[in-house]
Amino acid sequence: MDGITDTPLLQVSGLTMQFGDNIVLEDVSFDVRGGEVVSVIGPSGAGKSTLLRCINGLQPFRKGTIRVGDIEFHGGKRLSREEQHRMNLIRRRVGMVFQHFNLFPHMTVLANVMEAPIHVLDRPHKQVEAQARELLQRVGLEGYEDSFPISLSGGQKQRVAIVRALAMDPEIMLFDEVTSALDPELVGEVLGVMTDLAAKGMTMLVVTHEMGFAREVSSRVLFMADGGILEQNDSARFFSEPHTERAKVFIEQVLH
Amino acid sequence: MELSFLIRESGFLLHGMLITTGLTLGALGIGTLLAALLAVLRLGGNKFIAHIAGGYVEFMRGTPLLVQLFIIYFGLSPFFARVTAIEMTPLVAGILGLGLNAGAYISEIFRGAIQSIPAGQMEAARSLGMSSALAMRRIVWPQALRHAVPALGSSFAALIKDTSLVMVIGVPELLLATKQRVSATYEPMQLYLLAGMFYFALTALVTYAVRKWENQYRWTV
Amino acid sequence: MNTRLVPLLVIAVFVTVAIVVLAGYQNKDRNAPSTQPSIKIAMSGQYPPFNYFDNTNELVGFDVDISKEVARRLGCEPKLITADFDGLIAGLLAGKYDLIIGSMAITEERKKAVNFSTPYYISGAQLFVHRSSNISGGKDLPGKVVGVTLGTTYEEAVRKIKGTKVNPYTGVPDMYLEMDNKHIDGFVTDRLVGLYGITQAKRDFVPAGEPLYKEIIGIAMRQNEPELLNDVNEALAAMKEDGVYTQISTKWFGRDISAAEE
Repeated sequence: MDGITDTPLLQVSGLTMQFGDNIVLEDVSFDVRGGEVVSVIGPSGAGKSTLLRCINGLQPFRKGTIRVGDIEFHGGKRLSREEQHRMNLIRRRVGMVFQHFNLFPHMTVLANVMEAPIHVLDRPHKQVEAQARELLQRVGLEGYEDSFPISLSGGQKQRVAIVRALAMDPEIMLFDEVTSALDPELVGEVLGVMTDLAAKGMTMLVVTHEMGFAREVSSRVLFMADGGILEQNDSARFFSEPHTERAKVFIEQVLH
Repeated sequence: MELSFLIRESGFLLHGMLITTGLTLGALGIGTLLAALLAVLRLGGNKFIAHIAGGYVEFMRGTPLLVQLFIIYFGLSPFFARVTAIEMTPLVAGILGLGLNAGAYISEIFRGAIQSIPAGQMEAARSLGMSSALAMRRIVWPQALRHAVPALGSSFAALIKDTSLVMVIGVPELLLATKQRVSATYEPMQLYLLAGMFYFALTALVTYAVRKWENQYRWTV
Repeated sequence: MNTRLVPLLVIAVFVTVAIVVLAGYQNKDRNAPSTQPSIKIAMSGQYPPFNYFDNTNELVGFDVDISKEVARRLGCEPKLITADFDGLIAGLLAGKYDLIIGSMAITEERKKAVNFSTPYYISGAQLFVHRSSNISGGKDLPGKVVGVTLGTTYEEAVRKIKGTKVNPYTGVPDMYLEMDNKHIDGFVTDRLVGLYGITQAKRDFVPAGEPLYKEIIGIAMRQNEPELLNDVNEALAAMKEDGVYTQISTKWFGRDISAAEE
């Protein structure tokens, strides 16, 4: 496919995570190359969200390695200061958008977007503001800069959330079921932004129930169930010729 | 009830009012800063320090304020003068005792407020690359503070009333001043009513100030 | 983010104001030029006519005049401190002041904790009742409600009279109010204090019978200061010799109260 580089931007190896006796993720490994848009789909409880949260360190995990570019992070019971520092570096390269937006309610839309570039990256105020305004305009939110999140619709909030993550110039964006909490008529505007982003070459890892997006916009699909990747393929081929029985059943249920 | 009597006595009680106000403000200053520190320590990563902070809060909340005042004024004063350059006068002991006590109560308010902030806020902040400290300072604390305001208002009002306790270690605050005037004039009813009005005025002022503070926060319900 | 700065500023103002109040309070003494050493003397300030605040809110009274005279003879500047009566001994022992000249009676209990000077006046515990009451003395008290001031010898003594209900109060005027409301049938306080107070407050109370017992009043000080005890006793003796004591006593009571009433 066009624009996809050879070296993987993200490498997940042997990721294992358990909650008490419950094994949530078992020995998960996969790559994401630059420019790829990878959708992660599957039944509830498969561990999809947990996978994303392990990648950017929100969820501690027992075993495995996360590699973003040239930074490697190892899981384990107790993290050394070194490891923690590496995760912080990873987080600056990995942007995340949440199901429930998680915008900062005490700041305006513009302030939300500008917060991290100024306080984490120490970029000059003027430059950050200019970029923020431009990004907001690009997703159709011009005029909302001084509004507070409380007065926005779900779709608007999610667009701000996407822009907030983009403002950090991440190498890869993680999307955790970002349309699941939206009213149906608002889903489109968010998917639109994501499609746009994909077209511009952003590397994306998207956990979603929107099969349309998974089939049309993603380049690849990871099908997960019971804590592991059961099947992965180019998106078109996955949906037309699923290999595993489980995948077949799943596709039938969601696409009929 | 003679007006001239009331006016004259109010004049005498005024000094007591000022001391009561000074006690309240000083205790609030010490208490709020201490409370912020305690809340952060208790929610922080170091379990050992968190336990010590927790122990302090439990002790201060579990023993009578009066007992704490006595311990500070009668028991700690020799050490205090040696460690700091300040002499432990009744007023100092009063402000210290009230402040240390209020700090424990207010820290619970802060702790509850911080814990009431959805975990997603911290997650979003961290996923943007913020350190826990930065996230606490810029994202969690401002929101927690807003949620803490009503409870803080009640704490402040309660503190004003608690200041009358320091009378027992000889601080010339409003209640002691009132009692002295009562002995001098044999008019307990009028004077206690007057004192009550003064306390109410102080409390009303604090409640008003807190409401104004609450109104600053336009971004939430 | 303005909203974050405001609380911080407010706290800063709080602490600053408190420090200023504190400093002002401490400096009140430092500003007075004094070439003499000072001596701190404590009393309750709620006990007219012995120690109380007058209509200009000045601390005055028999005890106050005695204090100033004793200090003068010791060659010291008197610093008068007021605190609640039941906390006076604790404060003395903690070193907050040096003498208690506050109408404190000499008792065996108190002698265990402090030293007392030679007596500086003699009075008695007196029961007061309504003029219309049929209580004529201590023997009529069982079954009645009696008011006393907290922490005084009167409280102890009345508690020993079996069958009497004792109501403690923090001050004498509170007891007048309770008498008016008929919540108590009588109250016990120092005879001189009661007589003075009834006249001042224009109440129709009368002393009932003889004093319940005699009270000998002394100046209290810490036990580890024998020279102070000596000096104070010498000062008292000198005052009585050269007539200054009689002057002070007559000013307040019209007679010499160093001896019991005839």
